[in-house]
Amino acid sequence: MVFGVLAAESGLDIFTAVAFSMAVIAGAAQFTALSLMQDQAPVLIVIIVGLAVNLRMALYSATLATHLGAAPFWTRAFVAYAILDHSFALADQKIKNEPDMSLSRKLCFYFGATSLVAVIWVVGTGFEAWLGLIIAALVALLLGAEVERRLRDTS
Amino acid sequence: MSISTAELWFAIVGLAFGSRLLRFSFLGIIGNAELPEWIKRHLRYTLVAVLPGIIAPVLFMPHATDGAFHLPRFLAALVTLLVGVWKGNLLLAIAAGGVTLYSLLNFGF
Repeated sequence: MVFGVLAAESGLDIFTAVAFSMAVIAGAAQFTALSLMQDQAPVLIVIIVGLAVNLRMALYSATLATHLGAAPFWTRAFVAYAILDHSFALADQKIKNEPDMSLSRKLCFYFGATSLVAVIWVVGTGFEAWLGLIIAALVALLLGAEVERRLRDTS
Repeated sequence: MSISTAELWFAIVGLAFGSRLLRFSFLGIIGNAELPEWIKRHLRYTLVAVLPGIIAPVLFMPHATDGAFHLPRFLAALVTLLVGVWKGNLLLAIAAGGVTLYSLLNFGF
């Protein structure tokens, strides 16, 4: 999980980096979008490619609908918001292995599996962006000291 | 980064809205409706279909080598797969792959 550091290196401030993670919550798509933006791709291309990377989420959504479709609308909305590769894989396996679980137990398992990863992803981005800023400052400081030393040596 | 703030936020909002739509698509529309059996049968293979799609690019075009094929990484993946199939133990497979990659990078190549 180095998204935050990368974001800081590309000049995103911590707020933007965290908002990015919170709004999109998708590792691969975020990395792809970031590197495309660094390569100065047009914004529309950034969005289209990022979403292409995320197309698999529609498949996850369809599969989860067969597992958790009986849940109320807003519950399903939260299920959808938090779909991630890891949590989908865990929940899909669990529900297939124990199809007799009650709906509420399935939902509990799903949210348990997904919330930890989602929270770590968002909070981690903030922490890493902060770390990235510190690393950048340290590098600048060390470089500055080195340049100063060499200048002094040559003069 | 030379991209303007407005463009950056446009990209973030676009990605957020699009991802939300993709994630909510079937959960929102289908809900409790019963899907035909043949669709359900195909959906059971989602995981098997998507995971290779995620793994293949990092296997054959790793970021670390700027997309050039890298034998140690490939061998490590192979060991992970074989140990996984052989023992059926996730953590053991990951550990075996990690040890293989570390050994090859530090002592082999």
